[in-house]
Amino acid sequence: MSAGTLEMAILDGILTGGVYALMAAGLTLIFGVLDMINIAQGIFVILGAYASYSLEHSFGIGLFEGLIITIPAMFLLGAFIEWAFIRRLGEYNRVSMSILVTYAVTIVIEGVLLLHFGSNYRSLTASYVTQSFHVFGNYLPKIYLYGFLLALASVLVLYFILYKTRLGVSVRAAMDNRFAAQLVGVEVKRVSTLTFAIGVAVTAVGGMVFGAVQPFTPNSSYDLISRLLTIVVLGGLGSVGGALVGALVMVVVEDIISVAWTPTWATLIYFAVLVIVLLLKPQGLFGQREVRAQ
Amino acid sequence: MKSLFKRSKQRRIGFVIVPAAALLLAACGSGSSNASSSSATSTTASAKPIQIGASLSLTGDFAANGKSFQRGYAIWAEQVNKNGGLLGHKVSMKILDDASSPTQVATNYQDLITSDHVPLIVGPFSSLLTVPAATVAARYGYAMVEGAGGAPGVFTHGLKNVFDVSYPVKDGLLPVANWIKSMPAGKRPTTAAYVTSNNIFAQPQIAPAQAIMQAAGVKTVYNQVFQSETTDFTPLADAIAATHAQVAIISTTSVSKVIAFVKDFITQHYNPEILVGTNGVNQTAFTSAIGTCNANGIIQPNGWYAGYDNTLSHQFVKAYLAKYGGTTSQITASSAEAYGVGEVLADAVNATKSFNQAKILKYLHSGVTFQTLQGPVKFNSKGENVDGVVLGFQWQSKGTKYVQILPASDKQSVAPLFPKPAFCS
Amino acid sequence: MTAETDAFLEVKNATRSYGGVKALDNCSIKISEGKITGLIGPNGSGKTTLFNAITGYESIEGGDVYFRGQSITGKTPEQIFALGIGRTFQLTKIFARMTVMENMFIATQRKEGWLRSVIRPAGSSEELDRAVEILKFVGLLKLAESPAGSLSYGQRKLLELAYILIADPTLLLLDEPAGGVNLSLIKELGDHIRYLNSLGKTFLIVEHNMDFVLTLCHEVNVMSSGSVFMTGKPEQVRSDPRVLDAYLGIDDFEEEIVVP
Repeated sequence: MSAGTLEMAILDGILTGGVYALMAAGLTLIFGVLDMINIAQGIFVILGAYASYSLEHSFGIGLFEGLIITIPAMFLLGAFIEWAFIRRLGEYNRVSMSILVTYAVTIVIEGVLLLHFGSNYRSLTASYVTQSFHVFGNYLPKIYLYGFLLALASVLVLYFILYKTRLGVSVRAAMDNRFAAQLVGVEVKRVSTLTFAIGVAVTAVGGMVFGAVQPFTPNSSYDLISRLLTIVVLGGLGSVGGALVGALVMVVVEDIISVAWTPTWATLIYFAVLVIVLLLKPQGLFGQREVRAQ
Repeated sequence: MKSLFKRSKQRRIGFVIVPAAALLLAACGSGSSNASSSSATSTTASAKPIQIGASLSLTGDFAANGKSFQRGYAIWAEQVNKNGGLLGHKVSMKILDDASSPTQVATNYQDLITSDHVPLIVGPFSSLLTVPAATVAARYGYAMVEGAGGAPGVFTHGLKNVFDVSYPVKDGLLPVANWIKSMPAGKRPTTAAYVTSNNIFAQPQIAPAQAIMQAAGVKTVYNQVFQSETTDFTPLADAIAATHAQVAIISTTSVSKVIAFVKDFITQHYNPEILVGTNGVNQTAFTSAIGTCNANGIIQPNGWYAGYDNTLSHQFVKAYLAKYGGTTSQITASSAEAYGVGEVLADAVNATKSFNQAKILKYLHSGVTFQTLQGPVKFNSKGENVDGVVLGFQWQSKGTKYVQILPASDKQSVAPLFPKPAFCS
Repeated sequence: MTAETDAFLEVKNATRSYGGVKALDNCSIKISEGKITGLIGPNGSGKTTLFNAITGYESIEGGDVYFRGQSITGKTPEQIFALGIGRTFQLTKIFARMTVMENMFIATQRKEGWLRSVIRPAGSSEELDRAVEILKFVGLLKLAESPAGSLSYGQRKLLELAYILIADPTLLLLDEPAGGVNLSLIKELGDHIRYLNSLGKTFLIVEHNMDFVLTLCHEVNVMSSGSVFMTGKPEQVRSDPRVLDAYLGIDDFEEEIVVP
């Protein structure tokens, strides 16, 4: 290991972690407000990647410009899925039923993507995907930096909505105490639709960066969702801040182990960290189980 | 329903087969053929048509290769039927999708043998799936001739029914290693980095090549095994780039991983003199992901390519182009491997004049040499092809031509690009 | 839907059962505008079910609920809240992970287009003024920026009342406001209710603390086995033997009724 490699690995970890953080934030937000696990978050990311791919290949629309179309499109898709399927879930066995329903959504979207695009790996290409900045004697891939900045901006927008707007107050109230929020006139149904739609809309950004960094097929969603779930469990279900920290911990831990020791154990060490955290704090790093139990 | 799947025949199969297979299973299948990739021609064979069963990865990680296999099997069946079938029986392929899953592949072969009662089976794609598949086949006494299960791990399970028509995987990097060894000392690279996925196809290729190169004075400066679950390859690729190794060898089963490494090498402006990927380099997914020009000079070992000089190979290429169109460069080694499987199985059936699995097994074990499009095939007691030939290929002409470069002694080989030209962007 | 009643709030023959048990059995009650009305009865007599029926949390199988002469039977809790009926809970419902001030803005979220709700900031200056005024009134202003989860039990009750007041309801349903609250706070709470009542707010209060109910309320309804069996002035209720009978046989009789 040469000097600077470890620092680069940490930087890489933070940049990549930022993108996972955004995708996980959407997932945890949906859990918080709707009391459900959205297994389809992984396929939404892949769908976002394919959306960017299609715009680029069919209309020559660049990856970043394309977001102007893909973000609202994913938002509407999210709103539709919430309205069509999630709203029909009752209180009884809600979490397990939500897993089944969103798994079904996953399979349908995956099938449509397979029909349309086939199962070969696709990649998003643009000049900056294979270019890099030269900083402090190291090369920093442009796409990682751009992707991170984009994810950061999206997370900031998410925070602004959550903490500064009327909708945000409603969303957080519904996350805190769905029943009581309804009591004081928060239209939980509408807030649920909007939250689900926002949670899905962020996958347009996540998918674009994911697809630019690594090749994808319609089947890529399963690895992704399992990672996202470990992130939100580590960070604490329903905690947006927890999702951000969880994502950074995941990627940075693996990257450091990969470089400082061996990639063979990197994934295992991360899962060991996850298990230890859950043993010490079963609600995750920032989970507030006692509040939710009210 | 059918019009939905009109777009491509190939895609149709993946979607129709699984539900259809489930239906067949429920009905304790009498062998309806509407779900199979029927390659029937108008030739009428005297006897009852037969189905040859296979499970392929039409979806999932190995889908690209799985579909190439599907084409290879389809062309083989077509050729067999053109020549009057197997022992007078017209053949058709019955292919189930295993989604690249080792558990599904076992279920599929179980179904093919016990409920579809196919008289013959052929192997799946990849060493990872061959072991579970062959284990099930062994239970019912079926021979499994296969074209993509050459990993050492396949032959250490004591299975007496596996026959791999391709070269043994552990030999994969030997042409590259021997080429480096043969270079004059002043020209020969002195440092090498090895990185491999921890699976039975990728990992066994490293050690034999590394031993030869180290003996030739090529120092190992990086040697790591990563898990297939790894999310971020950047730090690994950065670490390799930081060693400035003159030879970089990336051994994986999935094209996505070799793409991730090479993409990062490009951004790091790391240009090793020799860059080898053991899998995926020849795929369009690879060149389109990293950019055609950036592929220039990258090497991949393989057993076959469309320019391979062999009469059977020429026949196959002709039939492939007639059926699927396109150009010779679009024909993958996987299709040829599948075709080779069919050739060996057909020879065994014709020689024994029966579909009796015991007789077929005995014949395959008899040490006889089969002629296939990939060259001669001769099985040792474990089922490895001792006559298997490994070739080395390289992208040349700015990534537009994929040519044979190794072994240098072969008259088909052209001069390698050495050192590898720098990445274009 | 027409004005079938001149009462401010009226429940007519409400019925609701769980399994075989009738939580509400042909239950009727009338609340007069501008009054503080009490609702007492032993545990399990159906008080909370009646609250739930009025506020739309539970549907009733028979009967009707009228508010200002209009039927509100079958309306959702949000709709009923929007009509001006606010409610607190026996088990206090506050938003523990939000600050006290943010709790105050939750009840102002209704009646808005979704796009506007994303663009507009939480809490207009007018709402902020009102929130400050109400927090000052209940004595929580100095805790405005603290997480609501850090409040004491009594303070949570006050916050619950406060964030409902910001929506300016005309009818307030309080479910055991004095339960578990210390004596000085109980007195303060009584003063707040009287003051709000003097501003024109109507109250319906479920309470086990007899002293609190009988000194505060203008009129008291007594429930037993799912229906209201008597209505009267506090002094009438205090002396009626049927009330004591209703509480007899309840194990925690001593705790339930605090006879002055």
